[in-house]
Amino acid sequence: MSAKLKYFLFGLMVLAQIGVPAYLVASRESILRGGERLLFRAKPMDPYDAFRGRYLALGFEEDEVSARPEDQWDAGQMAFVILEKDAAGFAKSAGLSRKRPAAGSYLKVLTRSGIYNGKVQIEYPFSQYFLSEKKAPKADLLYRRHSVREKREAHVAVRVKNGLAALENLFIAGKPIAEYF
Amino acid sequence: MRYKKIIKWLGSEIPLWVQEGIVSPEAAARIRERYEKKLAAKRPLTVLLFGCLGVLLIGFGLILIFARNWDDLPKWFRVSLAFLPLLSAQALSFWAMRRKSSSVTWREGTGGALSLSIGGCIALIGQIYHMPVVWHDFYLSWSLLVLPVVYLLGSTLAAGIFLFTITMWAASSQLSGSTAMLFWPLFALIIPHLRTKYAENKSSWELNALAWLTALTLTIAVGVCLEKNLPGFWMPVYAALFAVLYFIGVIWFPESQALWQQAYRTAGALGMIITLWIMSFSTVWDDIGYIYYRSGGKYDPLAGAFDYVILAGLLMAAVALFRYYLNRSKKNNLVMFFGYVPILALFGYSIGQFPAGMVAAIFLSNIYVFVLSLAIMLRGIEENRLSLLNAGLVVFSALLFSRFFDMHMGLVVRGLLFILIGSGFLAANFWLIKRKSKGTSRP
Repeated sequence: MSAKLKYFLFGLMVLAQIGVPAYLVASRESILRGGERLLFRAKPMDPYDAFRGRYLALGFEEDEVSARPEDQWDAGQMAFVILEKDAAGFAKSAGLSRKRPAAGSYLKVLTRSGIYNGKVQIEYPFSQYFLSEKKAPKADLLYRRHSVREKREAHVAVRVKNGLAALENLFIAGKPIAEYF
Repeated sequence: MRYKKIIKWLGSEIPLWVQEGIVSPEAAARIRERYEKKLAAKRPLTVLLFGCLGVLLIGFGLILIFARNWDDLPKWFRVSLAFLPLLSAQALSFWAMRRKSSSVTWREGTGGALSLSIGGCIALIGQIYHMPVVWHDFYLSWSLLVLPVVYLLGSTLAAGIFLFTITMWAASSQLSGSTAMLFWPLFALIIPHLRTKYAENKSSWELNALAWLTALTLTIAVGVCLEKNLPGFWMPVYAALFAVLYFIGVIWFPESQALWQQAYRTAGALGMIITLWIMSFSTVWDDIGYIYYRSGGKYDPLAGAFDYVILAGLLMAAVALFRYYLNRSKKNNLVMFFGYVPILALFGYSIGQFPAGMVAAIFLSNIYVFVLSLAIMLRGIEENRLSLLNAGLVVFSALLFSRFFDMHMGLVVRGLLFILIGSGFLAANFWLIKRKSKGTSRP
């Protein structure tokens, strides 16, 4: 291999290596800036499952979507969940589709179950909130206390654009989680 | 050290030779290159090994420190921090490629650092933007971005990281309910690198390290990639895989005194023995065979069918290589014995599925491990190689011990057998050392 060709290929490699993470940054930034803002009410997670080191595992109330039985959903399939926004800004799931919807807010998700009682369980692509080791235990406690059924005071703000989502912030009792530290 | 001094002296002499017209400037450059290359090759392996270990530790340390998640800092700053190790590793690699292309330490150091920083950067960006980790996507992009490092820098450490990432990809892909068939084309991407290293020097430490790494990767990956619809299918598959590795080692690699220096031969032989040894236990034959065929749910039919392709491919390769070996003029009995292992394993597995054949399959496996241990010992004696003699003894004792615990013998009988085996070890070694010292040993 000649030196020139080697340098050229090295340049291509550098571009690819920077390009992949840079693309991740750019796509998230574009969603965060231009996406529609939706709120998702958090639901309590299994306490043994919730705290895994450096992130909070989040669960959402709208994770069961009504689906038509003739669609024959199975676990682990790609799907588009159609979202509607209520007056307070919270998202409501309005249906599940295999095809990308032409308009409105929707998200690309994975199904976690087949149809059960006319509903399919889905996994939202923002189920992890990363924090530092020090803050994670306290954040976990806050999340658990405020997401119980009687309170329902935990929610996340998410930006949605072209079926992709970016998590903006986690709110506990109306305040961003960062303000508790 | 003395060698280094001579090179230094040579370095000061060569310009004088050119001045006096004894050698041409081109010849001078070639002489200098020759001896500098030799010096690089002479660098002790331990220094390099610890150098690589150092790079890996520093790399992991940096990843851990950044992973602490400095969420008090502004986001743009954290994003820049995530790119910092990657950019500096790229700059260092470029510099090493231009200036120090003959230095193994620089090549491995920068290649390893760059390979690690790629994975680190992607993981950190994911963390900063709270993106749930999709492991198989992560490992796939990491492995593909490491691949050019392997080829442009020629770094063995980068090749090791590539093999690690594709193995992890296969495992996470299989765990997520998807299949891992793409592993094979991914693995094929590293083969040209092995061929280059092979063409450079057949007995270099780098090639040997790569051989061990690929053997290990294949051993793990074959197990991961099998869809496992047919319980016990691993028996013929692994026997054939290890036979292929073994024959590649026997046919194309030089035989060496130390077993660890002949990666494919040792890994293949050891793997075949262990496969047969596991097959010699009666408990592994419970619930095996087509009666217990698994399907539906996480068992993918296409990947399940591909299991047979894997077996057929490996078996054909093993048989072809064995035949290639048989056509050679110089043969030895030990290799012949190993050559029949995959066929034996397939036969054992086929009959062992039936209650009537199970006992025969177990019996065959036991006998063959015993035969192999004897063949290894005999070969050790023939060639005056202690390493082989002891390897044979280890296999023999392992077989004996495992049968013992099967059979619930009395303490006295067990004790006596332990003493017998121990004495056997001592006597055999003593005898061989004595024979060696008489001067009959190989040069």
